Amino acid sequence: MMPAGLLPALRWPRRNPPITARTGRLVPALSILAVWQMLASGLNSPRLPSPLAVLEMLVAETLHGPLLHHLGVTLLRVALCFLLAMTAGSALGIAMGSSQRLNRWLDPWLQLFLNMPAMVVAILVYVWLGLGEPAAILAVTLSKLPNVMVILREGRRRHDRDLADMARAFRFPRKALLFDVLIPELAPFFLAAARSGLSLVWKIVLLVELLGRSDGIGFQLNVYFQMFDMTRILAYAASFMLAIQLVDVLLLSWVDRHVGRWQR
Amino acid sequence: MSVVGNAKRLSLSLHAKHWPDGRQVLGAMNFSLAVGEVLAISGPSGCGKSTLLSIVAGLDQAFDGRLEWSGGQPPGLGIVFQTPRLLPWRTVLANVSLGLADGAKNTSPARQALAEVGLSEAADVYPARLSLGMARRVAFARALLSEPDLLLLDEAFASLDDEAAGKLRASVMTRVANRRMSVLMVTHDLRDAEEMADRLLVLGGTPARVVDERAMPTRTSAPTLTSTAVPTDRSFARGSCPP
Repeated sequence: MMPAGLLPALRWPRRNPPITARTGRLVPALSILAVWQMLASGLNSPRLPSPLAVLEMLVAETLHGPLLHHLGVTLLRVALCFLLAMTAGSALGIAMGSSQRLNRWLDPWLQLFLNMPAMVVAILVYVWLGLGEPAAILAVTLSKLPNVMVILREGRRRHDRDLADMARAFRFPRKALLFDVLIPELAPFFLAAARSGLSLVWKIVLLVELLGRSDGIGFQLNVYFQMFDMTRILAYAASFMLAIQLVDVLLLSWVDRHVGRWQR
Repeated sequence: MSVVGNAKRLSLSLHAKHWPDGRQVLGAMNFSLAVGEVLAISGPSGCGKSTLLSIVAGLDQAFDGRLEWSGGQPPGLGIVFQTPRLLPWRTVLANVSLGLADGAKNTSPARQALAEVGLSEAADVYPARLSLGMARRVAFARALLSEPDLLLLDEAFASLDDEAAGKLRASVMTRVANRRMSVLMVTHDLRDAEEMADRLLVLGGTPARVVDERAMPTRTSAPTLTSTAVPTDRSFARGSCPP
């Protein structure tokens, strides 16, 4: 089932938001920093270090500490799980959207995984496969897979039969059918799955690293949690959030604009 | 359904066409279309004219009857649907050239086709920027570009101004005259039938059947045609197909 309220979000965003909208995004970010700073000053406690202290720690860990190594490991896991989940989830979702029979067979499995918490998946996979890298990758991929499948299944179901008939009437070659009809038609759904996927995958990666890996941002967060080192916890968390935000802004937003350029 | 065959001519022997819910939309009817013939089909809205066109186009194969092609193979087909059905994510030029095997490499035929329908300057825009009339002209360019042996037109001149419709009729009729292209057109507008068709089939009833079949006055009187556009062989144009 497609969660209510998701489909309207699949419409293409407006291209090139006006300058005021861009600068307008800074205001909430600055207000968060201001509130954080006020709370930190008011509490004056190691439980909540100031933004400046966290920034200093971030720079120090980047230049002299192991932050870059752990960040790289985690980003690699995110990229791998993301690609695996997008590829397998897209193929399965499109197949389910194309075949009612296959949908009837796979839908109960889909519902099962859709409603299973990522932590349960991670624990089960670690128990069954051991605390290794393959188990970590599999756990994250399995947790993200149902989400991609649901979105792509819905996209396939909404395909335009008129365009398909047109392509058949003009005897489009297979390659043109795929690259000129099917994939562009599904592009908003791929992007919706990618957007939600990226934000979901990195959270689950941190979880499986925390539960059963000996490197990565999630592992480091666990270590600093044991040491109650809030400055490092926030610095490592911030580094990763910034990296993911960069991927979103530089890559996904660009793809968004590029693929949606045909809209009026 | 069965499909058998001979060259650039079709004959349809339809027993019945049902919707998936069991309702019968088309009853028994037979008609054929000769090489270079223009056959118009008219009738009330919703009677199944477009369904008939889909059957001929091979898009709907769930019918009781026989569709026969002379030569055994369906001919090169061009079709202008009731709605333009352009790919919104491809430019006008790409939409026109997509049906061609080397359309992406050699765009000059597509540009010529666009020039013929008066849309040279729209080649690089996306369909969302076009009016319905312009989009329909692009659909015409796409259909005519492959130089089809059989052109199917589904209310293709609707929403076009008189001048544009006249030019498109002339483009079609030039191909009918010069290349012996056959045309099967669904229309509500008797003017289209009068200006272009050799024969008119009128559908009616539920399920739809042919309630009237008439030969149209010779299309030499069509105002949009040039003298070269008038076919000289009219022996088949008054009813049945030649053997």
